[in-house]
Amino acid sequence: MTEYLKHLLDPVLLFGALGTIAILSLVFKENRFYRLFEHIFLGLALGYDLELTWTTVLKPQFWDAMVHDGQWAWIMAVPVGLMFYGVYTQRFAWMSRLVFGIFFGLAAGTAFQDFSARFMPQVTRSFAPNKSLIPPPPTPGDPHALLHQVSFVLNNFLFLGIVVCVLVYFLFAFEQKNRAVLRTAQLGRWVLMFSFGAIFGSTIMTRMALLIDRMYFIFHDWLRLVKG
Amino acid sequence: MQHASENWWVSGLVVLLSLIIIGKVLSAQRGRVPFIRRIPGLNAIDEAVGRATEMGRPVMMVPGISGLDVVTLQALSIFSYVARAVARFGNKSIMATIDPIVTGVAEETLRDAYADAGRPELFEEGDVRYLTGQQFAFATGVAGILIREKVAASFLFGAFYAESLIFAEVGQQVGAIQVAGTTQTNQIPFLIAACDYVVIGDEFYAASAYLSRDPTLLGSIVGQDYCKLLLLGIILIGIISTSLLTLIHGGPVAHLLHTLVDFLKVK
Repeated sequence: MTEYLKHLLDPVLLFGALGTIAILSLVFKENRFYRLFEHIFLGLALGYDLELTWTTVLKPQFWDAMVHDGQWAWIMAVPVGLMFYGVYTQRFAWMSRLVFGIFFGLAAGTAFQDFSARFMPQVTRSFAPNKSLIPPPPTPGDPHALLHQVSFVLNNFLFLGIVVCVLVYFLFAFEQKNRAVLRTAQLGRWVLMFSFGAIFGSTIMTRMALLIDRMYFIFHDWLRLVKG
Repeated sequence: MQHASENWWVSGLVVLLSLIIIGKVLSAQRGRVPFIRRIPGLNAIDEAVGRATEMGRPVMMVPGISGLDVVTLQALSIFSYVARAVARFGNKSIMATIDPIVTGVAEETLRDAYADAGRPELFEEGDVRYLTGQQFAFATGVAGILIREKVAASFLFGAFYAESLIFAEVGQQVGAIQVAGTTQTNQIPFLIAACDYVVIGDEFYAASAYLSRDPTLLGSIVGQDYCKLLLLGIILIGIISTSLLTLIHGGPVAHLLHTLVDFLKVK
């Protein structure tokens, strides 16, 4: 067996390559090859999840804390955890609702904190004070003073216009029948679509990077058809 | 984290915004149910479920790929409406989940929705399927279900990331009518490109109020509208004051404007 054939039949590489080809084959048609690797992929991911949960959560935070550090109070987490399974029986469903209720409360509290930490700074940054619609006096000796002033005004007008239009688009309390409100909301939607277009263009590159990575694996790492 | 002493007025503003929303919620609960405008993407839900029923094919729901957070809860609230519509039509629905806790809550939600619609017998244990916790393995599983079950209507609501286009493209491939909504700005363009109807940004949060017509939720949405108008007013005051300051350099008016702009400045 030649060196190249040995390399092609390397179990790890072969499995990775076949998996990649199988999953990508869905682009043409769903087939048995795809279905096989779909289930292998799901099984592996589920196994990986279990291992990850044990090594990153249960072992360090629960088992080691109890067994090695003597924090036996953690044993109380077991019945609480078991309450989740109450969802599968009508008799004990109320138990699962208790813990779900706690999780709902946690989610709501976290959302409120997240809003204050993430969105309020964005809101307050929009309040002013460098968003003047009148340009500052030109810097002496600046050959492009007029250009700088025009771009300053244009930039801030655009900022204000976009904020107003998009906010009006997202008002729900009244029907957008008034001509001025309707036009403002429509402009807001157009502006949103422009920004989505820009996001589409930049994000598609990261998606291509994912595809290129897989192609690199097939053609460089496995088939060795591409050098470098 | 900002401290209240540095930006006390920002903290005060958060309290004020909360009070406005609570006030509108209480007002709505006392019978002054507010109006909210039509959200086109959501009107398509019944149409999509009806079409799936006519074709004799199931409806698919994916509540995003995050854990039990506000976005997922919102998605489940929308799916509760979808499930009621599915039960009314006597069709079958499938929900794929990535999180074990969400799976439990989703089962409860769907079971209650079917019971509310008077068809509890239509709900089956396998309707909510936990696939895996890994993003692309989950995407592979959802793609497989969409194709094998020949799904006729697909609803994608929740937090989506790089897998959003996989769901939407495969849904498109099988000819499913697709309604989607997410709070992830980066994924909205992909959903717009591949889905039939998309609710964007704040519409996602308004969705459950719009669908359920629950006075509490309607009051909250209208309260948020008042908050937006208040913030817009503050932004306009800030910008006008700053603009005037470049023109007026002395006197009591300039002093007043300076004080106002300094007040609005966030340290």
